Amino acid sequence: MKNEPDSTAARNVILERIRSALGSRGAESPAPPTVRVELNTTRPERVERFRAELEAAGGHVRQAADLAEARTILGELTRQLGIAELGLSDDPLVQALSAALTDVTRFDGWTDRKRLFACDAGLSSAQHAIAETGTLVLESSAERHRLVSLVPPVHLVLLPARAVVDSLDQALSLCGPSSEEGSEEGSEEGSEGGLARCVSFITGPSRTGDIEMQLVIGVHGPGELHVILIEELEE
Amino acid sequence: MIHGLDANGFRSHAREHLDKPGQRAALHAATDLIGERRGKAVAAVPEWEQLRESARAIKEDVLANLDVYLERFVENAEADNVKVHWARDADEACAVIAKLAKSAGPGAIVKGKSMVTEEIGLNRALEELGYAPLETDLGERILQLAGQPPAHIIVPAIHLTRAGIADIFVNELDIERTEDPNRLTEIARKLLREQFARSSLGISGVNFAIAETGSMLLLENEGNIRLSTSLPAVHVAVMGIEKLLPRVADLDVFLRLLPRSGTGQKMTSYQTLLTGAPDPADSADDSEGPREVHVVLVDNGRTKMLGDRLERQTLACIRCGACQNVCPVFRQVGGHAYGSVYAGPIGAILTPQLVDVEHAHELPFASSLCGACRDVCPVKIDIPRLLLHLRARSVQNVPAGRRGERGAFRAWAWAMQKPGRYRALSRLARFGGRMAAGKGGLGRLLRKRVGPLGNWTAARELAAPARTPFRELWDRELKNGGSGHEK
Repeated sequence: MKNEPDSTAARNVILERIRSALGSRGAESPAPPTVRVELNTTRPERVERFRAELEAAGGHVRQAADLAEARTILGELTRQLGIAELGLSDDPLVQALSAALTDVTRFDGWTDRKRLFACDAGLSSAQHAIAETGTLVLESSAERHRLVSLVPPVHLVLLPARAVVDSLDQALSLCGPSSEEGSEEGSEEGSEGGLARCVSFITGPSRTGDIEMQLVIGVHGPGELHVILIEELEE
Repeated sequence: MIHGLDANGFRSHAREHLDKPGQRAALHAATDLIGERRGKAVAAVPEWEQLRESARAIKEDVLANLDVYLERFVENAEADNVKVHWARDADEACAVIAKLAKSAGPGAIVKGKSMVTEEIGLNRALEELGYAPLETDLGERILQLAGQPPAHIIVPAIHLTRAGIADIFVNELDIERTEDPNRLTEIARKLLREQFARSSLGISGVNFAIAETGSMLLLENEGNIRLSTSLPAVHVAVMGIEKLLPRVADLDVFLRLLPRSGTGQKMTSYQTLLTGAPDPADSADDSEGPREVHVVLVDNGRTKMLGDRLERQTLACIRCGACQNVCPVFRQVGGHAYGSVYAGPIGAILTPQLVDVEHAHELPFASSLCGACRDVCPVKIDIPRLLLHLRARSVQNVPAGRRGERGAFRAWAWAMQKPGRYRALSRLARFGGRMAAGKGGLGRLLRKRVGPLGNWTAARELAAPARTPFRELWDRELKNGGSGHEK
C-alpha cells in the first residue's frame, strides 16, 4: 500500500465514470408497484400464524392471557432451562416481570459485557412481530436489547400480542422513516422519529449448515429462542 | 484487479477438480438439497414472478441513476455520523481499511462473510501489515484455516466433507479429532467467542444499502455478523457501489426473494438494519453498538459495466448463489475451478467484466448455455445472453488463444457467401468427414489429433456424413415429388 488513500479524489473519479457511462437522463423512474395482497386478518389469526411460523423456524412460543400468567410461565422457563444468571434489557415490562423470579440473579445486560458473555440467558421485549415469517423486530431506539438478545446462549422474549402485524411490509413501515401516516404507537420513543440505529429482525435460533449442509443450532447467536406472547398487558 | 485471480486456466483447473476425491459427491448432495428447498419455498409464493419483475425494475432504476442514489445514500449516512470512504480499486479499498485497523488499536479484528472483501483481497492485505483478521462465519473460518478461498457464495465450504473439515481442525487447531458437525461447530464457536469478547474492529459486507436513510442491511443465520457489528467500537462496512436500493420499503420485495433463493428459507435467522452512528460530540450517548461506523464504497471495475444496457444487468445481482446450485458445470467442477472469487454462472459473466476479458477469457465458455441460471435468478439476469456477448468479446480480444476457431468461422463466412463456394467446400468436408469417421487407423488418427476433434470424440461417436447430400437429392428428384430414397 503506497500512498494515503484520497477519498475525495476517488469520489470525483467514480462519479465521473458513472456519469460518462450513463449519459444524460430524465427524471428518476417512479417506484414499481408493490407486490402485496391485503390480508385483513384478526388478531387471533395473526398470533396463531406467528406462533406456527416461529416454531417451524425452531423457536418456542408460549401464550399467556395476562401478566400474571406471563410471570408464572417465565418462572417455569427459567427453572426448566436451569437459568441462574439472567441479563435484562431496560424495558419496564422486562424489569417488572422478572423481579418476582426466585433462584435467579438478574443484572442489567447493557451495563456489563463480561457478565453478559458468562450468563445463562437474556430477557427482552420486542417492538413488533411479523406473522407471515414468525419474525421478532427489535428497535434499539425503544429498548437496550441489542446485546442481551445476542450474546447469551438463550434469548427469552416478552411479546405483547398487539405487536404482531401481518407482513414484513407493515413492520418496515412501522420502523421506517416515512411514518407520515403513522400516528402508530412506538414512533414517539425513537430519537428523531426515523429508523432506530439498529433494527434486528430475528426468526428462530442461530443456525448453520456450513458442514455438509447438516443443520446445527446455536453457533454465535442464541441457540434457544423462547417467546412468551402476552394477550392482555394487565394483571 | 481481483485478488488471487487465475481465471485463465479453467480447462486445466476443471480437470483437476473433477478428480478430487469426494468433492463431486459433496457438491451434488449440497446443491441438490438447496435446490429442493428453494423449489419448495418458491412454489409457496404465488406472486413469485411479480416479485422478480419488481426487483429487477427497482435495480434497473438504481443502476440507471446510480450517481443520484449514491450521493443520496452518502448524504444521509454522513448526516447521521457515518464516515464514508470512496475507493476506485482494490488497493485503495484495502488501504482505507488498513488505516482504520491501525486507529482501532489493539484487540481482535472480527469479520463477517463478505464477497467484496474476498474480491479486494482484504485479508491478505491486512496480514501483510501484521494484522490478523478473523473470519467468523463457520464456513469462512474453516476455509481461512485451510488457506482456501470460498467455493460458493452462500455455502463457502460446500466442496468439503466432514472428514476433510475434521482434518483441517486437527491440523490447525490441535484438537481431538471429531467428525460430528455439532462438535466441530462448538469448537469453532468457543474459540471465536473469546475473540469477539476482545474485539476492537468489526468488518462486514452489505447486502442492501438504502439511499433514503443511509442505512445498511445485513443477512445471516449464525449471528456472527450481529456480533461483529455490535461489539467492537469500530464497524467498517465494505460494499460495491451497486448495492443500493432507493427506499426502506423496497426491502420488502428483496427480503422475500433473497432468503428463498439462497437457502430456501422464508427468512434467514437474522436481518440487521443499521442506520447512523453516535455523534462523537455527544458524550451523553451511551447506546449499545459501535462508537464509529465507516462505509467503504468500492468501484473496482463496476463502472465499466454501466455504459452498456446488456452488461449493466450484471450489477443487479444480489449474490444469492441460486445460479451456482443449478449450473451443470458448477455442480461438477465446483467453485475453485473458476479461479475467481465469483464462481458459477454469475462468476462467468461478472469476473470477465470486472477485470479485462483477457484475464478471464475462458470463463464465458464455462457453460453449456442451458439457461437454468436465468430461470432461477431472482432479479432475472439474462446470464446466457451475457455469456454469448462475452464469448464474442473474448474471441475478439484474445487472438492467441482462439486463432484456429476464428479462422474456421472466417472460412465458414466466406464459403456461405456464394452457392458455388459452399458446394465445393461441402464436398471437401464430406470427404474429410467420412475419412475421420472411418474405422481404419487413419480415421482414429484424425479423430485423436486434429484440433478440437479429439475433445469432441473422446466421449462421442463421430457420425459419417451421408454420401449424397440433401441438396443433391433435392435437385435430382425431391423437388419434383420423388420418393427421395437414396439409390
